Amino acid sequence: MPITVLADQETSVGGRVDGDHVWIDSADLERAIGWTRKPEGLCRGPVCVPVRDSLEADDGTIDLRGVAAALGKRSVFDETGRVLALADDAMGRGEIRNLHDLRLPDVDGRLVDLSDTAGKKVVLLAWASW
Amino acid sequence: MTELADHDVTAVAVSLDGDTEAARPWLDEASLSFPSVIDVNHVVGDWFGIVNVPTAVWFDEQGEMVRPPIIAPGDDRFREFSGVDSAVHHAALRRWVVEGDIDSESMRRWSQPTSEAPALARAHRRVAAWLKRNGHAEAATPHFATASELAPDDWTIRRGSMPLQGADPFGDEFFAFAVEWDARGRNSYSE
Repeated sequence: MPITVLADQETSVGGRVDGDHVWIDSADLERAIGWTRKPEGLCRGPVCVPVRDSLEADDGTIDLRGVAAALGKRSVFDETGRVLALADDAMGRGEIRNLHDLRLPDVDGRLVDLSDTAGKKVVLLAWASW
Repeated sequence: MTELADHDVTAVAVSLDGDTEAARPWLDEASLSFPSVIDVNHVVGDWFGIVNVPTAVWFDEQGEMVRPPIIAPGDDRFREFSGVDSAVHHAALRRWVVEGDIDSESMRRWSQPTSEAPALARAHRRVAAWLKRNGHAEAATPHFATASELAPDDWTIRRGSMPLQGADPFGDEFFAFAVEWDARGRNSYSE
């Protein structure tokens, strides 16, 4: 049964649940969270974060909550929905993400790549029906 | 934004509704002339520290944030309650777009509302909203509750979760929250 991962996007990945741990197929890691496992640690673009603990199991899975902790992210898993959310406090830590890296769907589910706004000043307006 | 049409500037609307369908009628009605995205997971909370609406954040041509989140109403309907004057923001926006004038200290002064664990609160809310959207309302309830406890002053969590829990975001639950928030000292963005 697949596991839903909610990070910067929603993805469905293969894996298994073992108590508090959620082991996902290593091949799905980058698609799920945008980071890859390399010999030097966990990497996203030119940035690599060293990892102390072993995160991989022999069956080709990786401990996604361990990955999250190594990246300074918090994670919450719900067994009923087999859904794992990762959240970050980048802005609070002073690591301000670049708008052009953001991709979000429009109302019809088509992904909008905010790098399309390159060369323009942008006023991001957060709103809600509530 | 219309008066700034001759300049290289665009607005991008991001909906913080927990369900896309809640945003749709408003977007149909508004038929915006600029890009509009839906953020049911509140990724912009993680990335940019957005905890309320309406919020404006400014980015330069390279995508770098140049002015942190601030409550930015389009008009003065809620001025008495919010204490925020829309004209001040519109004038500052015009100065930035037309003259390139930016308050470079605003990034340094920025602080987000204090919270025990904003990321953990958002993770609980993220799971809760997904559970609700996917037919697991009962499983969602404790996650909504934990998120609220962890981030009691985050409107995107407190008020934003009301419609997902069958509460009226313009009714009694909202007023109870607003009184509580006020009593705690209106903890929100400060510049």
